[in-house]
Amino acid sequence: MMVCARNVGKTYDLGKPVLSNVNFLIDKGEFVFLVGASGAGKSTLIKMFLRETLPTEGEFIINDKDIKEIEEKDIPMFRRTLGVVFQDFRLLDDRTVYENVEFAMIIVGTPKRIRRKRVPEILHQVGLADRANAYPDQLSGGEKQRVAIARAIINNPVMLVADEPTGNLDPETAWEIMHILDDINKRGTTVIVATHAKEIVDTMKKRVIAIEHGNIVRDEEKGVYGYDS
Amino acid sequence: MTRDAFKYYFRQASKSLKKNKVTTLASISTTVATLFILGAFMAFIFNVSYMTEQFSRGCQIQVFIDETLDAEQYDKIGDKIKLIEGVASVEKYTKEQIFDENVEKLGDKAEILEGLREDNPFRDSYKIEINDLELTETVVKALEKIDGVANTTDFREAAGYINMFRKTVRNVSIWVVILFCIITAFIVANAVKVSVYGRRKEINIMKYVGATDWFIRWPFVVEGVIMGIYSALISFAVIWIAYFFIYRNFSFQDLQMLPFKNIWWMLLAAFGAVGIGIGAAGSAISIRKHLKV
Repeated sequence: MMVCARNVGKTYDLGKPVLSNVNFLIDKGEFVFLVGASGAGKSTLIKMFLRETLPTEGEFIINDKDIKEIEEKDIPMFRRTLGVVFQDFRLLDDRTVYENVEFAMIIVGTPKRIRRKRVPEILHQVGLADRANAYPDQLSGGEKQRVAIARAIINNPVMLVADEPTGNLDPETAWEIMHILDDINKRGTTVIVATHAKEIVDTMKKRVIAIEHGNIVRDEEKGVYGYDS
Repeated sequence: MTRDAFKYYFRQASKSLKKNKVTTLASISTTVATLFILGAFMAFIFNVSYMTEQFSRGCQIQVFIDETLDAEQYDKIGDKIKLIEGVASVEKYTKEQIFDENVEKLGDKAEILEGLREDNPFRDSYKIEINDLELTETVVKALEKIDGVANTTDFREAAGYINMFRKTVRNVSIWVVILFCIITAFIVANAVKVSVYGRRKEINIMKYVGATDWFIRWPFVVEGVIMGIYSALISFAVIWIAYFFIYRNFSFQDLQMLPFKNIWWMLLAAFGAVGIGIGAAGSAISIRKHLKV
């Protein structure tokens, strides 16, 4: 088992609970969509996957470890086991595609000779082999997101967390990105995607966890989006 | 730290310094000014100390011996004086020497004194140099206790003023130096803050990718250190030139300024330590709050 949320609740500073009594299990190698309206609690849940926020109730266990028990100093090591992709790409504008991806390997201390071999491989995997020397402002939205995905998987994470990865993309490009994520999942990486992309969710027939007002209202294998987009 | 990582830190720091040219130049200029003032105060303290030493060498105590004593007793008193703590040297200054000197001083009017040569009105004496002006009072008291000492002339009052001046300069300078160190720390910290603000996105990404706090912090610390080194070297060059001109034109009685070769290493060490230390500390502090992701 990869992720286990048991009676998870989250309340920010005496306000209304953002999450309450959230329960689910995600196995290694699964592909899961998190769906729900804006403000439903998806982002808070994504933050828990990254150990950016902690539950105020219950347990959130990733790789057999309750995230509450991960000390501040151990967060970097924990995050190295994950890959993360955001809606706004979060690329470094002053670095080339190659450098943006390589950067994630420098951080974990990978030697240069391995980086030189691995970065082109990953760029090839996401279809950017010929864009290695381009800067982010020379790329389309889809290409930027591919760079972000390449950076997220370069260190072979066991789980990839994507927060609205297609939110800024046209439908055709969004599909390209989803195919890449699906491909990554088929290679054995657990993929969690928070999204509003109804057509994609409905077509891909993956597991869907739906959240409304901080509660899980649906958890279906081969599910659908279930809302009007 | 691996060589790869070090190269990465250095490259990032250099890039940031170039990217934020205006802030970098502004903070280096202000740090140079601060270090220059620090250096000027240090040079001033060293010189005050050096000059008071020169002055105290000129401040001799003269001990006059009772005229009823014979030559042997006169010598014995000299031996006793040598044993007093703080006495650096003792020199005989006989009544004949005093008489001759006064004759010489009077020049054309020396005849007035010449008539008294057979009945010399002066007393035999000793000229005494002491190690430290602060000991003047103690030494004079010890001299007055010796049998056969008629009286002494000394510079107790002047020594007191000089000591007070030296202490005041030292104390004021220490506070000024501390104050300027704090000001420099703020300046460098602010420069790094600007750089941190410009790179908050990068820091945020680094955190998500699993960078340790020190991996993120190091380029900023290196940036602060580079600014510190540049500032230290420029301030050193400026103070060297300024000192050279003052040294060449300095003239006050017989006093001399300390040669630059005697103090350059202390100034360079202080500039280096303050510049680099403050640069590194300022950087490490200013990045702290951006590491909480």
